[in-house]
Amino acid sequence: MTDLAIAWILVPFVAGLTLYLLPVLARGLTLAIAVLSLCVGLAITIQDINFSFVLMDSFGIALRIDSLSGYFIVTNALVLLAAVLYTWRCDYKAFFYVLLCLLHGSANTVFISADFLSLYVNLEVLGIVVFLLIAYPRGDRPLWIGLRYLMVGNVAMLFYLMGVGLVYQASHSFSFDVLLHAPPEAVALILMALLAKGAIFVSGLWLPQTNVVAAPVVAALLAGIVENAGVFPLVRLSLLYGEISKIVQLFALGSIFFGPLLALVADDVRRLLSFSTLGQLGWVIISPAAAGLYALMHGLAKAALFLSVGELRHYRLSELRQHGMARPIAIAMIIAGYGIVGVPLLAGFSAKALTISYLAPWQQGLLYGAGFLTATIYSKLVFIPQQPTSTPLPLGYSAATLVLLGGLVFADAGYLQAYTPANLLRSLVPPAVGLLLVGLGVSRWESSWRGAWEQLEHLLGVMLLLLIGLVWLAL
Amino acid sequence: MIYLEASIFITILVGFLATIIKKNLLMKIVTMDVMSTGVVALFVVIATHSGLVTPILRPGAAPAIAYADPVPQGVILTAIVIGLSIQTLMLVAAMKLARDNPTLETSEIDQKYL
Repeated sequence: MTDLAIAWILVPFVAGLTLYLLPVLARGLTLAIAVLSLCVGLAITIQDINFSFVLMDSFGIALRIDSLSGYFIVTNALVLLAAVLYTWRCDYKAFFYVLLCLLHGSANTVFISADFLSLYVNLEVLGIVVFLLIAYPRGDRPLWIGLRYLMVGNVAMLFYLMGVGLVYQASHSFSFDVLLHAPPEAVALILMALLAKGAIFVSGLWLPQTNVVAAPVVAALLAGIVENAGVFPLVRLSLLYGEISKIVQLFALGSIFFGPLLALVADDVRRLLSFSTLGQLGWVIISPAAAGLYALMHGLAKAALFLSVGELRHYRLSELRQHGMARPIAIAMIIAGYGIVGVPLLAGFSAKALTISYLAPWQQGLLYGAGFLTATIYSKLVFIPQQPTSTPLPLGYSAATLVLLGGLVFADAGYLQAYTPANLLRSLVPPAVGLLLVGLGVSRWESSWRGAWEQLEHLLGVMLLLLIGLVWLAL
Repeated sequence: MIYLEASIFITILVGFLATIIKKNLLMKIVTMDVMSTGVVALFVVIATHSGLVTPILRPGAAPAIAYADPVPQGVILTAIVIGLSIQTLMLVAAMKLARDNPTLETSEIDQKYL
């Protein structure tokens, strides 16, 4: 088992390096890797495989595979599959597929790592690959946005490394299991870095503009894979420690309201989706036991939404209302959007029910309130006029959307106990209220306002504030 | 020892604050490197808690010598390499950005591209 697992981790990296020598294999090999990971992920999830192994001597360098990792691996594989199908007919160079392979491999390793050091290495590799993917078009704007991402990520990871040093000093191990033997400053440093990397609450404000500037397929990868990799360590640590879970839940609640409120006033459909991502990442980490299913649902739906946005000619909501959008794209966007809202028959329904079932009553109330916000955001899509298409949609786009939305429907089987009359009734109220609110003219509040808080200095400064807050919480 | 650790923490803090305060992109990249140097030094100091002798076994050496812990020194090599590659990428990007933004003032670049 251990050998198989190690071989499977290595495959994407070896494939990525092979593509340098044999660029002709690029698409096929990347597709094969996605399918392999999908099979592995499904096997782990369905058979509930649970095992861990130590890689090195006694320093706690270990990997751990369980059904939580399984869900994240399946998301990773499906989004990669969609990305390869989407770019099949495009003229992306082999280098792009090399990056996809490395992205896939490092994200998979994040999902199964059980120690701070392999987490550090893989998150950094992920950061470098994401920078290269964003900057792939080589224009000045993507370069700057990529640079910003790299800088914020690297500064956060330097703080993380400080925390890891203190953990090692306290217990001579890098394992997740020894975190609480370390001084509270170490916990605060590590949590701050992971919150910034996972785009939770205010420290996640690097995310909206990054998603707007990145190419549609890269934005889909960011939403489906990279952000999941950022929040996964938080989920893992919350599962291990009740104290950390409480702190993380606090930030998750902040994120759950902060994201959708900003999405409500965004005037650009890509910014709307990114701010909604901020909120949804809060949903992923708020109840760690349900995080796998929620991350799967959100990754698939958001990737489908970003790929669909790539097919639009206009991005401003006012322009979209004027010119309309092609009917098949509109339908795909509405299905994915309502998947996130939590309408029955799509995975969002069971994921939301499972998430809420683990929480305290006051938290359930708050989340239910936040559900109305999310529903209002996505109801805006319904009010955009639809037009019959004159030219057929690109085949790659159709195939990718089919994979993602199909996954969204099948993933609903993850928690069939959610289908109770009370849950069904409760899930239909927010969309109805959302439609009503949009009908009444919530869209008036849209503005092109950009907060100064998205500038590089502010992104870095927020980290310091967050660190002080976390030290105070951890003490 | 305590002064050494204190100065390392000050280095990291100064590096971090300078990434916020310095206006020029190149300076920001350099200050980030100052911060990363501090973190590397922290690991080296952590390694010396158990002793100062290089952890190489020599024939005839007494087994009870206080060796430095090789693990933090080993793992920090990874961080040095990663830091170096990120530094390189950022400098290349800054070089390309400098063609259209000769001053490399981050606030101006932010206004232009955000």
